[in-house]
Amino acid sequence: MAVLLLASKLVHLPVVSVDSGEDVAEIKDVIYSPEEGRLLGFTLNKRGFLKGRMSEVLPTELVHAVGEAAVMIDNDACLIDPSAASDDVAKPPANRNVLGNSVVTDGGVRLGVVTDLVLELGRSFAVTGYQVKAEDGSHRFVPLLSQLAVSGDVLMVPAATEEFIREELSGFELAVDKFRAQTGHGAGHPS
Amino acid sequence: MSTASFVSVRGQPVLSRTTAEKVGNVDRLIVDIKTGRVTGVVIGQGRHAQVADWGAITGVGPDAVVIDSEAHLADEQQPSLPDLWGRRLLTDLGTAAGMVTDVIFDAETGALQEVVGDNEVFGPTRLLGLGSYALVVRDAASGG
Repeated sequence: MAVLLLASKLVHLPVVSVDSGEDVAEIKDVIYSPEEGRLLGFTLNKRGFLKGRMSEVLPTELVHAVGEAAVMIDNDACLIDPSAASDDVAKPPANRNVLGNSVVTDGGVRLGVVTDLVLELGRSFAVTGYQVKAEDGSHRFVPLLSQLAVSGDVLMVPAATEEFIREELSGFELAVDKFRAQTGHGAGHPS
Repeated sequence: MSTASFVSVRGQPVLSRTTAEKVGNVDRLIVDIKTGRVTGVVIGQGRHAQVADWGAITGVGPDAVVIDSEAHLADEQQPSLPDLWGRRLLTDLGTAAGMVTDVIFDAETGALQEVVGDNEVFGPTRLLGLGSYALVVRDAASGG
């Protein structure tokens, strides 16, 4: 059973090298592609007393695993200069942030506004859904397909999404699996 | 084969076989995770700390650690190597696994046998990296 976590909980987590046991950085921000429905990488801060922005970035391809206590990398060489990373990771465009975007079904129902991403922990760290704030102010979890129509401020999802919305993270993974099985979509895991 | 543990060795007197004098007390053991061995003993603390390499140790018994002679002692190098005992345990999946509470090793060869954590015991093949932040161990679910 996969363990799920809100992506915002990754901020300030240490980045630890499996090889050296050292905390070489900490997560500053999560870079997410709404078009691909997956994490692209992380921007970083320095650890310790000299905290502050770190110029190196961490693309997801170089992440060993994401846990609730740390983001693990194989060794120090996994933190790379932005010039060696893809543009999406090196210069994440400000308008790509999905937080605050509306989730609307193709049946014309507005499910709410995105407040966070739901992540599967471990080696896959797939984004399995969005946490949204509904009109009545309550928070809900909306499963995500690997393919979505995305505009500047609207994420379009199939109408079938509605019946798989959950109010708690527990049980949400099952809802995601059922939803994907029914709609015949893959899990959208990063390769 | 006799075994020893970090907890039992900690604080033990260190004696010289050559002079039968007490050199000091065991502060901690130095470990090389990559080779899975205890590589030395740190005697005393702070500026007066000295290190005896494993090769200079003639016996690790229930009552004392005996070294060949004082001639084999060296000042501890700075920065000193991270201590395994009491270190944070982290799996390679980024999951917290408590702290190292003890380490069991072969008293004759220094080969590590088990790292004992709060909730789980790790064999030498599951030890991946030791640093100032954590001892990284292979998660049971990680495979390979």
